[in-house]
Amino acid sequence: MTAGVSSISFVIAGFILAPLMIGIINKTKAFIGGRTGAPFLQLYFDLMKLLQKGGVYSVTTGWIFRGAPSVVLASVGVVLLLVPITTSGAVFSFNGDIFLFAGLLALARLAMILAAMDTGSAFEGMGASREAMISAISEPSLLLMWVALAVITGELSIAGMLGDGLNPAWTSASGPAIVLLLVALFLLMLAENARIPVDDPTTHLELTMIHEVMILDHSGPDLGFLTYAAALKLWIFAALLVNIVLSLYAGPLWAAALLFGVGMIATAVVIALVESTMARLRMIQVPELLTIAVGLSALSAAIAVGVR
Amino acid sequence: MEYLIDFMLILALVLGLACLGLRRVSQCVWAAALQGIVTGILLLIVHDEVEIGLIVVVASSIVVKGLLVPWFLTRTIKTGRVEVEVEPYIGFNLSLVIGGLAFGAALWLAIALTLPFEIESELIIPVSLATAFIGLLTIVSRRKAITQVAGFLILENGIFMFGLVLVAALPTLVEMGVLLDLFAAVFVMGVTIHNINRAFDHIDTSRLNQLHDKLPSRRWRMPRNGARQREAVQNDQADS
Repeated sequence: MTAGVSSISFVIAGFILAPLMIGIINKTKAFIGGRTGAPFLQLYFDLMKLLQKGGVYSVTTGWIFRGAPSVVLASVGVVLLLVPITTSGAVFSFNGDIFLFAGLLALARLAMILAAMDTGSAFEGMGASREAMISAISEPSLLLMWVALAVITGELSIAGMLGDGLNPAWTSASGPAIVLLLVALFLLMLAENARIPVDDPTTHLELTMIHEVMILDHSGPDLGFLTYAAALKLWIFAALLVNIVLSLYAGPLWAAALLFGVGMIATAVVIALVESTMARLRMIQVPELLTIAVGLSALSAAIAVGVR
Repeated sequence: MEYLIDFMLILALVLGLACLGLRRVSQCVWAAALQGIVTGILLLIVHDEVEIGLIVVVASSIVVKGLLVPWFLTRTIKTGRVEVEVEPYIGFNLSLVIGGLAFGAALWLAIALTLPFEIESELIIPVSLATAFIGLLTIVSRRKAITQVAGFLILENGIFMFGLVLVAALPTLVEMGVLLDLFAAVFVMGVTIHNINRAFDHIDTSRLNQLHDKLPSRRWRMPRNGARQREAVQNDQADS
């Protein structure tokens, strides 16, 4: 599939705007909490600052620790290339790229877990263990979601699934399957990006440490890479969510892109609302939340297969 | 209209599954009640033309299943001082998995089952079968009598939805009869639970075999969990 100008420009927009989404979430949370909050562009400033610094490496760490941030950023960056914006088509896509999507995210996670183990810190090891547990339950949900979308649209590539094929499916018998899928994807987004019901992105406290504790020993550009990769990952999942909702709208591409921007802001606000109104779940309840996500996507896949 | 029916059917199914996963008895009762309202609305939108008899059935089923029954059950929960937690024999996650598998089996059954006539939505049969099964599962896998009533409600909702297949053939009178049965059954169950609770201090159905003609002797009476915990706390306080 050839890459259109529109899809390339959308991906560039994703690379540029991803940190802004975190900014919107933090600003909304601050607003709800009655604070002024950091400026929208705070993450850009942080990234600038981190990239200008030098790295500090513990003598107990080896090449895995030094290489992991690059691996994480590279794999998440490639995943972004697979995600289209409404009907624009992705920069590159092929039949079965859903497995590349899941595999690259798994590779990024593996690199992070290995780097965390490499420090030899008990804290980081615990964070790595929790990350592995959460991903072990969230990945089946992700794959079942792709199965449901593949059955609904009859396509095998991400760009195809989120493209034109989804619009008529809304009003067909598989419409409810898409709604269940959206709920599962939202739960998955919160879990995969270490947002509040699963993990708390604002603290390194022992009780909440999953993602934040794994990047505790990284510094300088490495930390910048990991933070930027986390922002990109949130953008990717939010983009999937907004794309599925936007498949309801079958208009010209520029209008869809505009709606996409509005949808991303709305998603950020919804995440901020969830984070402001909910407390983090106890660690023992996190698998139950993810079981709900797996159940919903399995239900969605079952309906899609059943009504086909 | 057809996709609206599908959405409502899936909503009913998800509410049934929610009842399997919810932790509190009152939440479980309200999930079943909400499912009753959804099935009532389903009956309204499945019909093409609206007539007086239909409106009476829909309105009475929404009022009975959505308002009267949950009100009555929450009242029983309050006056009977039923503890808030659902006590399952089968864990919440496992129940959800079994519920999901039941839906898979119902889908397979619905595909295997060929009907002699067209029905409004392909999902009616699998969803109603799965809902009936979820109701049965709730009845057998939960310890408290209140949750068993909720399971009975879900079972009835499943049967009600299965009736949507025969929407042309099922006369209003039959629907009303079913509804009356349901109300009477829930009423009787509520009163019974209330009385069992008064006599035995608990509604744990696993100990119903200790029911006797005369009141059980002191030796037979086991304190319910809360009482036991309170005793333990008092002992602790006495110790310290």
